[in-house]
Amino acid sequence: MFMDEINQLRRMGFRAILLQALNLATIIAGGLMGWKALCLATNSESPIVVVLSESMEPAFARGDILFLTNFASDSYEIGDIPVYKIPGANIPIVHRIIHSHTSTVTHPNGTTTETQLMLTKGDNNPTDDLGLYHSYMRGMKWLKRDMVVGKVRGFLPHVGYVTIVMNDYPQLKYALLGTLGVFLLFNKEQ
Amino acid sequence: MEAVKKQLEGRIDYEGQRLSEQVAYFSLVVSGVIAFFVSFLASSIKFGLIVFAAGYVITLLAVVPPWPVYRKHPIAWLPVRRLKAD
Amino acid sequence: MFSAWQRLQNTSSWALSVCLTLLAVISVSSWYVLPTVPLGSIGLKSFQVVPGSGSQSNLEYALMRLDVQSDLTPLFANWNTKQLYVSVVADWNSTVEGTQSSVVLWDRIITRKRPEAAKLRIEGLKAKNVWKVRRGGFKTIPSCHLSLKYDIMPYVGIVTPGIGARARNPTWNVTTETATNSFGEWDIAVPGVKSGGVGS
Repeated sequence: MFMDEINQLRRMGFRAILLQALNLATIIAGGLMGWKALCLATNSESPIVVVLSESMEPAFARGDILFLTNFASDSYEIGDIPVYKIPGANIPIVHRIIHSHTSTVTHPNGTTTETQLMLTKGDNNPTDDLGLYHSYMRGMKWLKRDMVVGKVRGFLPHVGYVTIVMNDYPQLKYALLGTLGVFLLFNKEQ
Repeated sequence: MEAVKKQLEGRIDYEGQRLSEQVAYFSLVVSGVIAFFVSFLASSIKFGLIVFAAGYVITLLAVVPPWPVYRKHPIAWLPVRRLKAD
Repeated sequence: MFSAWQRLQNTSSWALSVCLTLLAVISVSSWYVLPTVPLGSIGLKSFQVVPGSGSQSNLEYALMRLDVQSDLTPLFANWNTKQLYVSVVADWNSTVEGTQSSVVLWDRIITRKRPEAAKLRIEGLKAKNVWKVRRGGFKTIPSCHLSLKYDIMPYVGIVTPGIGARARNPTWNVTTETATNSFGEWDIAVPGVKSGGVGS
C-alpha cells in the first residue's frame, strides 16, 4: 500500500533526506525563536500559561489560557491576578491579591528600593494562600515580586484544554508528535 | 487501487485552483465579519463563534471536493510523440 | 491547492487565522467601548478598635460597618463582560517609613447570570476579612481611603480594573478617646486602646 512512498524515500537519496531533516529543524527552531521573542517582549519567563486548577472559578476554568506581562513598571494592586511560582515547586499558581504592603526606602545616595509583600487567595478557595506558602517554603508569610511570573492581562477561554488532555494522557502526546513528524518527513514541496 | 487514489486526490486544473483559493478566502473573511456582528448584536460570543464554524464548514464543502466548476479548463498536454530510434 | 488534501489544509489554516483575528477584534473593540460607572458612595457607619484576646492578644481588630452604594450595571451592558470581582478595599499610608498598604475587607463575585446583583446597596456591611494589625498598630495609621473596586473578567480579551465607589470623604481622623470622621457626623468611642485609636 505504501510502496509508492517507500520507493519515493529510496529514490530521494541521502542528501534529500538530510534536506527534509533540515526543514524540520528550521520549523522547530523558528517556533522556539518566536516563543523566546514573546518572552522577551513581555519580560516574563512564561507569558502564556494554562489554568490547571479550579481555584479561580468562575473567573478561570481549567483549560483557559492567560496572557501575562511582567514589566518592572507593572503595578500589582488589590484585585490584580499574579501568576507566581514558589521556589521549590514548579507549578504556576494563579490567585488574586487581597493584601498588599509596599515600603519604599530612600537610600542616602538618592536611589529608592521598593519592596512589596502580597497575600493572595483563590476566588474559589475558602482560605487565603498562607497555608500554601508554608507548605512549599517554611516560614514564608508573604509573596514577593521576584516570585511572580507575570500579571494577568488577557484571557482566552477553553483553548488550552488540549495541553491538559495531553498531560493526562501522554500516549496522545507521543501519537500526535509521531504523526506530525511522519507528515513533515514525507511532505514534498510541489 | 491507483484509480481510487487518483479519485481521492481530487486534482483540479490551474484555473480551478485559483478560483477555489479566491472562494475560500472570500468565504472565510465574510464568515468572520458576519460572526463579529452576530456576536455584537446577540451579546453572545459563543453564538458568533458558532456562526463562524458554520461558515467554515460551508467553505470546506465548497472548496475541498473537486467540483466540475474547477475542471472547466483542463491542461492541454502536447500529444505524445514517439521518439524515433536511431 | 491541486489536491483535495492540500485544499483542506490551506483552508483550515486560513480559517484559524481568521478566527484568531475575530477574537482579537472582539477583545479590543469591547475593551475600547467599556462604559464608565457613575461613582457611588461608601459611608462609615461605625468603627471600633478592639484588642484581641487569648492567643490573639498581640493583635488589634478594627470592627467596622459600612454602607455601600454603587450601581455597576452599566458594566454588563458590554457584551464581553463575563463577571465582576467586586471588593471593598482599605488603602492607607503608615507613618512608619513610607509604607503603603491595602487590604480587601469584603469581596463578592457578580456573574452575568444575575445582573441585578450589580446594583449594590448594602447597609451595615460587615468586613469578611477582619482588619487586624499588631497591637498598637492602628496608632500608626493616620487615615485610610475606603474604595469599592471592581475587576472585569471578559469572555475573551483584556482584564480591566476600575473603581466603583469611594468613601465620601476619603479619610477619617481619630483623636484621643473618640473617633470622628471629617464630617463630624458621628462620634465613636474607642475602648481598650490607651491613647488615641487610629493615628494622631
